[in-house]
Amino acid sequence: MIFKRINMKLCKIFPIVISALLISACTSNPSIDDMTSRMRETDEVKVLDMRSILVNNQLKVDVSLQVKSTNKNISYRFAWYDKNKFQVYGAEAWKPLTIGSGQSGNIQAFAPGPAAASFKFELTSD
Amino acid sequence: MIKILKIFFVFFGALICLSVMGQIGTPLPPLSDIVEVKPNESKSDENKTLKEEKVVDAAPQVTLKKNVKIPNSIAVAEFYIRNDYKDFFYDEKLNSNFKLDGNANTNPNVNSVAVLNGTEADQKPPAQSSTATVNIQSDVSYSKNYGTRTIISYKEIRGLTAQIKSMLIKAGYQVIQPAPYVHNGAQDIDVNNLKGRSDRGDFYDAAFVLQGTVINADSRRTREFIQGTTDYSYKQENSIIVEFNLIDTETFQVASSFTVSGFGRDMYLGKVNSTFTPRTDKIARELLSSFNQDALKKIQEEIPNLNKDAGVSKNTIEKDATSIGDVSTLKVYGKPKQVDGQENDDKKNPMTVYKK
Amino acid sequence: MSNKHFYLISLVLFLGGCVATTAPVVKYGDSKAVETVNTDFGSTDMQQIAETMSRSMLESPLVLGARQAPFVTVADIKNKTSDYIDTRAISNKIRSQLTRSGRVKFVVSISEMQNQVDELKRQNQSGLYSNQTASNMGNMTGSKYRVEGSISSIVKQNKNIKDVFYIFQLSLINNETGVLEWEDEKEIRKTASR
Repeated sequence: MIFKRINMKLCKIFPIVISALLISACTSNPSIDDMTSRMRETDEVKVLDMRSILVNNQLKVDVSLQVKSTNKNISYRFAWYDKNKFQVYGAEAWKPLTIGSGQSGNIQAFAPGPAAASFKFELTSD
Repeated sequence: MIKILKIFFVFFGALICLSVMGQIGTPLPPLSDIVEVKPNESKSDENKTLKEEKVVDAAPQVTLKKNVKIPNSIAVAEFYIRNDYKDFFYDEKLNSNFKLDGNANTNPNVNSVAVLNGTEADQKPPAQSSTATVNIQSDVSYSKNYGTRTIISYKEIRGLTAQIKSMLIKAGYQVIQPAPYVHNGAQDIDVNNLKGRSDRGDFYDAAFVLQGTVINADSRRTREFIQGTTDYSYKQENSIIVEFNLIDTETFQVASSFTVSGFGRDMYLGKVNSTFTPRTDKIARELLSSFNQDALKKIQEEIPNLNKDAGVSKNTIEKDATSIGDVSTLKVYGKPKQVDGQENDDKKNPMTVYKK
Repeated sequence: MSNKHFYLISLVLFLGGCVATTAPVVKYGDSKAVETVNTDFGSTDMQQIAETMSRSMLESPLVLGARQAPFVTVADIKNKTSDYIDTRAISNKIRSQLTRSGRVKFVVSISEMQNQVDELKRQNQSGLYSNQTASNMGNMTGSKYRVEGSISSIVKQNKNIKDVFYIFQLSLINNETGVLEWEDEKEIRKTASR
């Protein structure tokens, strides 16, 4: 009888617990690698920190980089996506990375408009 | 005996006839004075009529009452622009009169004696006397007058009060059209002399007078170069500013006062030597519509609406029960966003830090 | 003689071959790619400047916190460098990026007035257009702010290195009060070394 009662309780509680765990898993932030897209050879650049914030409904991103060497000319840009993962505001121009060899620096970017809900940090080399 | 009686009756009848005729001939009391006939109070209508007839026959009691003002009535006076300008005049006159009178009289004294016998010697030539008089009169006068004279001209502006009158009628007032003003010389009442005009009866017992005074009526034509183009803009602009005073005709207190302005413009884009003929009807229409919009706003603020079921004032919005919404679907999301988002972002806006 | 002929013919063939092998090869490239042909003002510089300036203006409290998109007009950007730079192209780029964001509205500037006036004249004064559909004169929106700026450069050169430093400055000025509401600058350094 007691078993039945415990079973009943578990049956009620179990789905709730599982769903809570799943929801918490979904809301954890993606990793830096997920948000970075490297093209060609960009191993000299290491992304130390990446954070984003909403300023009055517009996305603002701050990326902290460390450059080991400047053998290759590395350029970067941001790609902006709306909430349905469609790219918005067109492709940005490639900007040459001006952080010197062995130095670290910050790159800040502000979304071109309020439609941008997420972004991707793109790196490429010559 | 019968003859005497006949004469007596004729005489009496004549007297009656004369008295009746005399009564018909008496002049009626003037219409301008309000005449109050006091009928004798009675219970039944028949008696009333009979008694009224009697009262009329027996020379009614006439009492003059003061002029009663029509309640909630406004007489909207027309606008006049008074222009005083001084004119310098210079008169030079030369008058010369010349009179010449001449009389020439000849008086023949004919003393001819008719001689019957006819002897020549006896005939004497008739004696003649003649006088001639000449009168000459001449005067020359020369006058030179100069100085400055002030010319006062009144110009009436029509057409601006139509909308105002309709607004007042809709607000529940009785609008009275005053008598037209015609200025007759310097001794006449000035158009702005409300007391004089009211006493003269121009306002027909209106309780209030809405008097408009034109403060500024301006018309200008300009030509301006437009930067970045090879064209000029030609403009004709008319503007009018009128000050309204709502004045009580008994106490001459100002009940309310406001200013209304209107502006109308016509524009043409062209080259340096273009000819511009402005569309006066367009300018007048624009001026009227802007004037009326401004007047509507001011009248709604200043002059109270008499209608009980008057429209809702601007500041209060009636809310339907259905427009509030279904309370069960109400969701409150966090606090409203701040204007300066950057400082408070760390606390309120979501920030994501990406893991490695 | 035959030697001479032989040399002449071979020379002609060689030259013909040279001409044939140096025919240009046309390829499409990435318009957004970094361009490093020389130290003159280039496409990457223009793109970088436009992007940085427009994002910075979007981030300013005036634009970000406005309840309604402000009306802005573009005044001239002065070229104080020795290069030929089409500053109108830079300002057009900035303008298009800001317009796409929807947070700023641009109005016709002085350089575009002739087209505006011609169109208004055509609709109002020719007598061919109906009153209901014609755009009336006298209803243009005035701008509250204007954007103006300048670009200048510092060129330093020695035997081996040529260093060009560009500085682009842009400001947003209130037309009525004359107050500088926002200002930003972008610096670009290009070096060419042998």
